[in-house]
Amino acid sequence: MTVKRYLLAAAIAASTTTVQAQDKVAISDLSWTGAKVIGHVLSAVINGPMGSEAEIVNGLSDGNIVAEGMDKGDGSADVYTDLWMPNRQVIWDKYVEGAESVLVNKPYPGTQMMYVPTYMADKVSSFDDLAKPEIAAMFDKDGNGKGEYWAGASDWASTKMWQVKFKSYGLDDLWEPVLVPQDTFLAQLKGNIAGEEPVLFYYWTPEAVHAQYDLSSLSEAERTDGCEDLNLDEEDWLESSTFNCESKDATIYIAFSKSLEERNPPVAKMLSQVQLDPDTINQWILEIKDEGEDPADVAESWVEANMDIVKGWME
Amino acid sequence: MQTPADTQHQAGSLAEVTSAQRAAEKSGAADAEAKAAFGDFVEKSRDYYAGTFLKIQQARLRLWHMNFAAALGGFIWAALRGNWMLFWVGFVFDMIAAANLGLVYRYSADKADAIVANKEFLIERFSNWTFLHLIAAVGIFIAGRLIIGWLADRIYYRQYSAWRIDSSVNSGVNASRWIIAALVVTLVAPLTLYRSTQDAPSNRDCIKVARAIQAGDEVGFKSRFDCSTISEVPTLMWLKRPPQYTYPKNDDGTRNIVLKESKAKRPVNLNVWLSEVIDQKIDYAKAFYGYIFDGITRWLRTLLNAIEALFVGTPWPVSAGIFLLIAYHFAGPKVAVFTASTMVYLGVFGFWQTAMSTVSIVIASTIICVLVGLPLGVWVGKSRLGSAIVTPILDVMQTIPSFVYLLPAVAFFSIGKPPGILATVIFAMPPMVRLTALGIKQVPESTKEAALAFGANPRQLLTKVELPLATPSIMAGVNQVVMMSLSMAVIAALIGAGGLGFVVVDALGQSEVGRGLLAGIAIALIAMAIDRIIQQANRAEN
Repeated sequence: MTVKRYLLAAAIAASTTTVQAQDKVAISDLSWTGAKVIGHVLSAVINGPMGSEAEIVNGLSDGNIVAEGMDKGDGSADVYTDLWMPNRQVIWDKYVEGAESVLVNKPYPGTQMMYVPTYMADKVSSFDDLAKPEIAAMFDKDGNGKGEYWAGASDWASTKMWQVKFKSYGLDDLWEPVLVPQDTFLAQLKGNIAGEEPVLFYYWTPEAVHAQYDLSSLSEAERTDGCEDLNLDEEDWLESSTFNCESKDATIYIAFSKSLEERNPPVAKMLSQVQLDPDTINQWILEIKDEGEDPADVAESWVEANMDIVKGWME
Repeated sequence: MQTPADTQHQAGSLAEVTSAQRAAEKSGAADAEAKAAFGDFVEKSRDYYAGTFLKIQQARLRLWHMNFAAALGGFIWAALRGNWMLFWVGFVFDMIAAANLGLVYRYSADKADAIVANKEFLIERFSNWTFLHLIAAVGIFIAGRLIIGWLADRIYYRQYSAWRIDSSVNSGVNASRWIIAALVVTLVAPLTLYRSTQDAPSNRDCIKVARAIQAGDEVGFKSRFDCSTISEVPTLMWLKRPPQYTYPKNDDGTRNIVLKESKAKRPVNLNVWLSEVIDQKIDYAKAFYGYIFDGITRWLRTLLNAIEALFVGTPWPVSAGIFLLIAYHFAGPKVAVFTASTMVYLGVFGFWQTAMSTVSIVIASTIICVLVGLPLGVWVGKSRLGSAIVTPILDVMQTIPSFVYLLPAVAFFSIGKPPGILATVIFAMPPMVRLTALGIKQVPESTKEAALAFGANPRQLLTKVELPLATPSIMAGVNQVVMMSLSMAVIAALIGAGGLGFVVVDALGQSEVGRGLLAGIAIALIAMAIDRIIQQANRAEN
């Protein structure tokens, strides 16, 4: 078999034309399921129909490190699978707009809201309910008179946004934010839900937590002109910003290193043309969390079944 | 031999000649004797080894001396001579060289594939790799043979020395040793070489193979063989997912156990199965025994609140003054100056309140460590049973990565400072127990006997003799506890313990290296200041 292979190889080598460089593409391994499954889909497309090479780098889960890697363009990190805006404004300003070393695709929309487990929904269903002292007292775990809510990890811009919102809704005196990484919070949420304890927290769609637990979102005031005025870069961002209405949909990008245009042009082209929609991502997430499928399996079978969409990205 | 020659030296030239002759004869006889022994040992190639061993014995062996038979024969020569150390050296070198040749084969096949697929970048990569591994194969083979040739006589001579003392050591030439060698080679070589010539299937490929087998599909022998030998250790058990339960509360506060409908289709391996079972147990404990953890949390919070009220609540000029007094009184002017500079650093960079919050957590952890660790240490020091039970637990506590217990701590004790304290205690307690036990064990028997002779009861023996004598060791333990608690500050901040650790985590999260560095240095300075104070105080007391 090998001999045949060599002969064929030699024949083709004689007639070969130069093909562009195709470096291995390093994909981020961000912690939330949506980001993970997008990574697996991209990897399945690149390794499969594109015939190039991609690797999801285990443990490459820190957004800032991924962004720095994409900026360097040394192949340590090439793709940021799920860049939430405006939550990652710092990365956007520094690399997408500033250094122009990172490119993005067409985004898909996501929502951001405050949630409680559904067993709390009869007591808390809107931000108006949060203004009741007896409700805040239920959520007060450290006994300092203020209820706690998870506003996100300390390095997300959305974390500041929620602090501004709670201030603008006049909930400062009753509530205080808890700023811990997402993994830590999810560990706590697991315990809270097992014990049916009150817990109030920020989350978003599409995301796996909705497939795992029964959650209800809190309704907010409708958007009006000027209800959102955020100056999160200011020194006194909390005082100078106001935000007392529901959040606009977030826009979520796949970001990739500009250096891919040289190091792997076909992949760079494909990434710039990928178009995802929340329903598809939700369906992936459900297959993973509800049916216990491996993300790589979900990705591979989706790519196989939707070759027409994938071909559209590659053209 | 020397002394008679010396006396004859003065007797005249004739005597000198005879003595030289006699010495030569004598040494010649000794050489012959040695050579005979060498010959008995080596059995074959007597002359060569006799000459070489004699040179080694007389330290006349040339630096570049080589045994060509060994260099040519490699590990086969070593097996024949019964020197297993040389056998392994030679065999490992040859195996590495052979594996590299295997890689050359594999990458040239890959290169051929790449040419078929018309992928320039792959062709280039595999050409390079083929070339590199070819060089490596040749280089390692030659180097290995040179090394074994050079080592052969030198190490074989040692075997001879061992044989002279103990005649059961391998000697001579024995072809039956080739059977052992052949056994080793057949065990190691075929699979290793096969692995080097193949692109091993990935974990996922093998999972797919396993699924296909379960589904009753036809799977080629090669895939089955590859997956069970040259990939991950094959999964022997495929288990049904454990049932998932939820524990909803009724209106009267009791709980139901409700089976959650599972949509999962596939069986899982033991790892996934057991992980899910553990998760279930944690949920169960949380649902039905949550009040215990809540109680502990409340108790920790009360302790911490009291300490924080003291440290954070006291205005900085007052507490700074008190710290300075303590440093000066217990540890002298030098340490006081260092403490003062640390406090200036904290003040100048605006870390005072955050630092006091960190110090509060450290003090709370230290108090718990001492309260629990001291009695435990006494038990370990005095009882063999205690030592047998506690020591392995301490080993686990010290070596288990802290993230492993961080998340369960959060599930049980929620986010915030109490689980932070608990995680810190787990990490920092071992030295307290160990050093207390060490201190107790080091109390001289005679001292204890004297105390007993004066009629001390066991309690008096402990409190009046053993503990006071163990104080330096115990204080070293306390010092260690404080240091390790401070080093946990950053990790504890991940679960909401706040303080300087949070500044570090937050700064790194936003790529603000400078801010993180300044806060990190603040932690280091506090640790050094406390360390100096305790050490000096300990020394002054003794």
